[in-house]
Parts: sequence; C-alpha cells; structure tokens
Amino acid sequence: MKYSKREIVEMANEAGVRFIRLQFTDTLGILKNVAIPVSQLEKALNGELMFDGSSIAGFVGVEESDMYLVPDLDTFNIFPWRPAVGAVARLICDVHNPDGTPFQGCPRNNLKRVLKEAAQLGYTMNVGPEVEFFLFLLDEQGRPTAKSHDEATYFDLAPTDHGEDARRDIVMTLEDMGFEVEASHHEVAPGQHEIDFKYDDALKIADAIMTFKLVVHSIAQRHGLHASFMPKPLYGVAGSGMHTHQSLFADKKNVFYAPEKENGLSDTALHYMGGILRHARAICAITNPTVNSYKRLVPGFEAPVYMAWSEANRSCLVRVPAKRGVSTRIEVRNPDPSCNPYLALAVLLKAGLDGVVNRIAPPDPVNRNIYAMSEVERQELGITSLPSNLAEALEDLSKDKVVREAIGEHIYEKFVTVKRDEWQRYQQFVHPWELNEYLSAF
Amino acid sequence: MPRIKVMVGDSADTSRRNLKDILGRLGYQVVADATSVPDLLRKTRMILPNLVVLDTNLTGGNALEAARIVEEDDLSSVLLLVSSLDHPEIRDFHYCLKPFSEGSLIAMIDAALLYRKRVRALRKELNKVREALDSRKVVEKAKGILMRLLDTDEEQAYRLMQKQSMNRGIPMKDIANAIILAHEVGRDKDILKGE
Repeated sequence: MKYSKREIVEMANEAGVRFIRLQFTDTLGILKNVAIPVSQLEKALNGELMFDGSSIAGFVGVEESDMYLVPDLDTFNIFPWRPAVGAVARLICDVHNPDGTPFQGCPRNNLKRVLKEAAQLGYTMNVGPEVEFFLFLLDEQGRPTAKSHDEATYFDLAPTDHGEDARRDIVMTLEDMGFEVEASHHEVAPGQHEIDFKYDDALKIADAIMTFKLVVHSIAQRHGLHASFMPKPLYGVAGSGMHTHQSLFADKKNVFYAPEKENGLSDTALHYMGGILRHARAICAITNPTVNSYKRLVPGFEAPVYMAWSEANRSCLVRVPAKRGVSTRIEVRNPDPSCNPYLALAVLLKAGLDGVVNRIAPPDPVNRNIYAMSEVERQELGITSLPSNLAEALEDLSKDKVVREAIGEHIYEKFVTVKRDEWQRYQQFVHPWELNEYLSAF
Repeated sequence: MPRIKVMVGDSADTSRRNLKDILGRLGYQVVADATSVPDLLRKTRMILPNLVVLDTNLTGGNALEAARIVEEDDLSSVLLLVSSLDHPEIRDFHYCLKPFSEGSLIAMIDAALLYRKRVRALRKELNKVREALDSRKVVEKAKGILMRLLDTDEEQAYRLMQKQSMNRGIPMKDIANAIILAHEVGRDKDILKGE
C-alpha cells in the first residue's frame, strides 16, 4: 500500500486541503462526488461515511438507501488546480452495503471481482488506453456547441490554437497528479485530441480514466472550451474512440509473448483474442453503450466495423501492435470513451479469459483492408460485423452468459433497463434528418 | 513607457462601449473585449493582457470564477467592476464599486498592476529559495551515502562531490542525484538475487 491513514491526514494538512471529494462511479460511468470538509477526513478514511444510494441512477431502491463509502487509500490525490482558496483532494471509494459487504451494483467492486477471478488463474491484466476527445467552443451563454476552436476565426490576431494550449495544460495537470502520459497529439478531425497513458494494472487504469475525464473537463472549462467524449459528435469526421491495449501477466512476465513462435504470440494471446472476438457483439453493449456509439462504428475513419484481427490494418476489431517482449499486447479498437471503464475492462477481461480457459482459437488474421472487400469476400473469410446499433448490441448481450456474468446480474438488470429506455426514446423521436429528407418530399 | 494592454469583459453592449472609451481616453490600450465568460477565458489566454477589467455582469458562466482562473493561472491582473458588495467573494479581488470617477479607476488599476508586480517578484524569490533548499536536501542525502560507503567525514564527502561537480561542469544537485540513484540501483541488486 502506498499511503497509510496517518500519512494521508498529514499530506492533507500540509497542503492546506479544505475539502475532500469522495468519488465513485455509477452504472452509466458517471463520476459521483460526496464532498466533505477536511474535519471529516478521518471518519471517511475509516469507511464510516454514508450516503443516500437511492439518489444515484441505477444503484439501489429507496429501501436500501444508506450505503457506505470505503475509500481506496492509494487513490488519495490533491487536485493541482484552485490552490488559492484551499486545496481540494479526492479519494476513490468502493460502495459497501450497510452490513459492510461490497455492494454488487458498484462497478468498481465488480471489476475487482473479475480481477480476482483472473488472479485465481494466475493472471493480472495490464491495460493502456488511448482516449480521444473533442474540444469545442462554449457559446455566449456558456453552453457547449459542436463548433471546434480551430475552425472558428472570430479573432484576427495570431492563429493560436486554443486546443493545443488547453491540451498542454491538461497533460501538465495529469502529470502533476502522478499520471504517466505516453503521448498526446492532435487527431485527424479539427478540434480532436488524443492522450495515451502508460499501461498499468486494470483497476488503476479504470480509476485513471475517470480521473482523466474529470481533468479534461475541468481544464477545458478554464480555457473557455467544452471537452466532449461523445463518440461521434460530427457527421463525416472521425469519431472519438478509446482503443484499449491489453495483456496478461503472470509472475511479472508477459504471457502474451512467445519468442519461439514465428509471430511472437503465445497461445494464451491467441486464445484471449479468440475469446474477445467470440463475445465481441455482446461486449459492444458495454464498451459502446450509447445510441451515438454506433455512428462511429462505420467504414472509413479507422473505426472497426468487422470482427477480425490483424497485425497491420486498422479496419479490424483487434490489432496486434508490432512490439514484442514485455510490450506484447493486443489492441481492441471498438471501445469508446462514453463507456464505463470499470465495466468495459471487466467484460474485456472476462471474455478474454473465457478464450484462454476454453482454448478458443481465433480465426486466421486478416491483413487486408476489410472496408475494401465485397460482402461475398467477407462471407468467404467468415468475417461478420459488429452490431449496427445499440438495440442489436443489447440483444446480443442478453444472450451472452459470459459477458453478463462479467458485470453481474445486479448491474446487468439496471444497465439494460436504462439502455432499452434510451433506445426507445431515440426510436420514437423525430430527428432533424427525417425532416430534411421527407418533409418536402412527400 | 509601453502602453498598458487592457482587456474588457462586459456583457452589456452600452457599458462595454463606454468602458472602452474611458480606458482609451485615459491612455490604456484596449486590445480586446469579451462578451461572455468563455470568450474572456479564450481571449485572455491568447493575448495575455496586462490587465483584465471585468464587469461582474458577464454572462455565460460565473464571472468571479473566471476572475479566479485568470489570477490562479497567472494570466493577467484582474480588476472587477461591481454594483454592490453583496457577494463576499468579491473582496478576494481588486474591485471598483460603480459608479466610479475616472480618478479612482486609475488608482485601482495602478494598485492592481503594482500588486501583481510585487507578487511576481516575491514568487521569483520564493522559487529561488525553494530550489536552493531542494538542492541542499539532496546534497545532504548524497553526502550521507558517501560518508557511509567511503567511511569519510562530512567535509571530505562534500569535497568529493564538489570536485566531481567542477571537473565535469555539472551542478552539485545533479551530482548528488546521480549518487543517490546509483546507491538505489545498488540496493536493487539484492532484489535480483532473490529471483
């Protein structure tokens, strides 16, 4: 363990912390905060603080509303911004039932459960995400727009890129918070950015993704911009993905690496991939959980559409980057940043482990551009597609026992109820596209 | 003396125009004006004016929060124009209560600029002291390591590091860090034996 309770109290005092945010993530991947004054810190560290769980979407019913927040001491961090008015610190928490047992509906508890299953097989999961997002302008009323800063020529001074400036600030803030940022760059689309973090164990990375989103939103706002992790905010331009690099380690060694094999990939790596590919359609419901997610998964734009793997081309669901040795890994390309990272990593790991345990062989790699193939060619190669919308994905999820087990029945029930409703609302709405298409035509 | 670059933030068209006129007449260079909080934040970061004169009527977000961000990120001095002191947070900033005379506006602007100049000077000094203290800490630590390893006294250990520093043209602090790192790597060797 990194910190003891006493050390945390000392650090908080030294930094002049006035408030502590106790953070947890709801079913839909939204970060929730309970802010407490520093005088309550010791009580919080002992896991004695309660909150009303019935106020959180998809958590519990009113009859079981008093839930405990049990902080993970290693996640103590002081936010680098707003130093003038007394610093703010945070602790990421697990949600526990009144009787002290871990609450099944808490996505972080759930990921820990799946990680434990992996540990029983002797594996730890390492993850390195690449998160994309857009920086848009806020309008005069402070509302987000879908206009990006760099196309807006509202000012005839030097063409400074607001986004570059904001991104540099974001990276610096992340580094201040102990992140190791591997790369950060401007993406394909105007106003789009990508930040990649160094790989770490799955729980730390899921926490890091939540922190990352918070930092990006906060810093963007300080720059008069709005950060959006919406998967496909603009038609006709690339969407935002969250490519998820994964590997399994056993005894601190990467078990995806097999130097004796021609391609350097172990059977474990192939089977893991086999598991991901077999369960991919159900996985999508969790890793691509919004109506909008499926507008990103279309041909072109380097987003995956087909269930295949490759060592080279980026039209496949799974790509195996060229690096070997300790860096041997697979890159799953469909997840997008609207997902709940705790649930996403849980389903990816569980599907991969199902492949490893049941020795599911993946199909042969496809090293051609699948976008350019005809449907007949794809059929001959046995390449099928990802779900084309949220309803299809939810349908596949309902039939996939392994992926359902990965999130547990409690979360599954809550998740599916909310998501079916989301789909229905979308279905029933009359969209601007329809008016454009039909209003004058008929 | 170079002209002082001022940015104006005000959501009401008439008062923004008036404010720009007054500031221009008083000899300030009004380099830009912002009509909302996001607009103000974007332009301030781009232009880095010497002073932001900000009416708390600014819409599109919290005007005081915007003022705080400009100050925290050290982008510019801030002077608030306020109609009342109802909000206690206003007193965290330089402010001017409306209506004001041109004379008092000049005085407030001078005070805000002077304040930032002094804070910056102090901050620079503080950083220097901090750096010296950090350097002292690692040098002390490295000295301790050398004393134990080479069985020398404090003065000799210091002298050894000083010599390395002079011969190689590397600051003492870097020499000290290198010694600490080498020492830590040496300790890790024992971990390897365990594998």
